[in-house]
Amino acid sequence: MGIRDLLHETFVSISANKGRSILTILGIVIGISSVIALTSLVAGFRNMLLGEMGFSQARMVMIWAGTSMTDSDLDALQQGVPEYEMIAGGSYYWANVTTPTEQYSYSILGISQSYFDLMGLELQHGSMFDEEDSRRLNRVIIIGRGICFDLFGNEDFNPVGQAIRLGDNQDQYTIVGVVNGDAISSQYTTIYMPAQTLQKRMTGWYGYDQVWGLVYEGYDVYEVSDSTKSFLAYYFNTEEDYIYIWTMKEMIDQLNVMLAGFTVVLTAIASISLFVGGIGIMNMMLTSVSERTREIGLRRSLGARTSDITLQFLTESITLCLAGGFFGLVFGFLGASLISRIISMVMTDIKFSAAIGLSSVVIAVVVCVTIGVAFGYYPARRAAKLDPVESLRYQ
Amino acid sequence: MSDSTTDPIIQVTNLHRIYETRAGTVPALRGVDCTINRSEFVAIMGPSGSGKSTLMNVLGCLDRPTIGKYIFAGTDISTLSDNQLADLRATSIGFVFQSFNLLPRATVLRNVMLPLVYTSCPHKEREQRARTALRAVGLEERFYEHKSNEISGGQMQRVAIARALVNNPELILADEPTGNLDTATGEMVLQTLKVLRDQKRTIIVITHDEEVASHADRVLYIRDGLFADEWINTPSGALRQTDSERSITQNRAALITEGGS
Ligand SMILES: Nc1ncnc2c1ncn2[C@@H]1O[C@H](COP(=O)(O)OP(=O)(O)OP(=O)(O)O)[C@@H](O)[C@H]1O
Ligand SMILES: [Mg+2]
Repeated sequence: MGIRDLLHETFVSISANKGRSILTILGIVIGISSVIALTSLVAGFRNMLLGEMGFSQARMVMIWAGTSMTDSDLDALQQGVPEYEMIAGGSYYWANVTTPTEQYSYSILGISQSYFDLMGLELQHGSMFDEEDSRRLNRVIIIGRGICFDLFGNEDFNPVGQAIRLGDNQDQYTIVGVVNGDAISSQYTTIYMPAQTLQKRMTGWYGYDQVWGLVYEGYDVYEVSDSTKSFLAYYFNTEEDYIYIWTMKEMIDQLNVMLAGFTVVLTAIASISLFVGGIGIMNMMLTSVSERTREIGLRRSLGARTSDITLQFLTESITLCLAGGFFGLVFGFLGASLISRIISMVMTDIKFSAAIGLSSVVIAVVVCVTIGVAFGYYPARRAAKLDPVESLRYQ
Repeated sequence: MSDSTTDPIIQVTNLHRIYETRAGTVPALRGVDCTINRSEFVAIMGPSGSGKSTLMNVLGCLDRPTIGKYIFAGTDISTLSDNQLADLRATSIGFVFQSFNLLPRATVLRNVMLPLVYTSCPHKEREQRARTALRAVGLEERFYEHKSNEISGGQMQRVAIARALVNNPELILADEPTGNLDTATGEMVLQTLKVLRDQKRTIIVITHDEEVASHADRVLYIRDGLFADEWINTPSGALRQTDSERSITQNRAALITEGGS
């Protein structure tokens, strides 16, 4: 019996029992569609969190040395731990900005020259401040798009060249650039200025509150973090325990583990539906075998081997499962994109879209074939084992 | 033409078929011996429960004897595996059932093509062969695309015969093929079978009906799982074969002499 005959028989038999077949594959449809919807939402969520960062972010470490570090400390660290491609420092502050109608409060970050490169931040308008601005303590700032929106009514407005008044002294600061980044990013409502300017003109404190390093590609982030710890302990003559290093990789790894666990739990729950669906398929196939006992006897008398009968019923159950899988994929994808559209509609600031992967299609197909075989095998064997003479006598 | 009497297709010796049931063992066949030649039309008669269907299932290689030897077309079937038996049924044997056993939702043509699914017959040829078989049983072309539950009983049985023919088998077995048909329709079905016999096919028909049996070359009577009697039909009427142990050649010669004297 060729594949063409098998498919023909399957088509005839399933179309003769459309209603029953549709009801039977519902379990599979629900199981597959919930797995697909949930996993693509989880993957979309992960992409939303990690996608903002770009790949280089996995190489980033944050360093708190227990004491504020100066530019010369950063130079020493760069020499002591040469695995860093870049090191940047930042100091935090905040300031109010008053418009005729409203008063806003923004965080200010005084940064060293390489901060934007290290963070992978890009400017939407204008340009970066330079060494000269830093040395001369120029009052220049780069603002986030959210501030553009607050002050100029439009995120995409180009305010380069305009000045705003900041801080206790209400000094004029000139906007030289706008940094990219949407509402969930921290830069959306941050004002950046040269660290020297912030320290000398606003806070009066010296040194950076926080230091970031970007590890060269190819080095183990965890090892570099360890050698940073021992270098800084030696350099500042303290205990390693006082030095705290936090790697982005650690966070990404933890997030991945958490999401993978989440996916496993969701899949396990959906598997129950698949299992129940499989039992439904088995039940229907058993019914079909007993309804078609005479037909099976007839086929045997016409020369069907037991393997022909087994294959015929297996093909039927696999086809049913694949049909369930197909509709499951369709409904799962529709459900996931519907949910992500609702999320984007409710939270307009967030760019969220479900990540629908080819791998989920492949997995769904494999799962369906497996269910088809696992739950179809017993009825198919039962059909094949029927005694031909008995089956022909069956009423 | 070679002498057909020296060319047996079926040789059965001391054939037993014992059913194991919960109520005990049922010996349906108890030592049957017979030889059936190629292109013979044989009728098997006997009371209900005498073992006719059991014999047909064994002769059709659908069932195996419990004891005894069955040689089909020169092959001892006890040496064949279940798959080989299935292949033998697919290529050499055609069944016709009392209740037709057509697939009701499939078209006439599809029903007749069904046995070819289990042979190596290429897809292209299948429909052609089915049409040839349907023409051979005299079913009008306009019914070919009808669903098989939309035609009359006589037409159904002719479709069933066409299905039994389509793989060009050496042996056609029919278990009460006219049992569900009126006399005229039954007569038509028998004529169809006789034409097949004339095309050098072996036909075995099981029947309760003397009228049906009168169409056969030879009638075997079975009682309680044993052949009890044998008649040979000649143009001048039915002749009783008293000693069924002797070879057909001798008997036929003897009977003809006897009838002539
Ligand atoms: N599968 C079976 N299991 C047990 N006993 C059986 C089975 N098939 C037939 N028999 C018994 O074997 C005997 C012969 O049955 P069989 O069907 O061959 O008779 P038959 O001559 O075809 O009768 P009928 O003319 O009524 O069709 C009967 O006694 C029957 O009860
Ligand atoms: Mg019977």
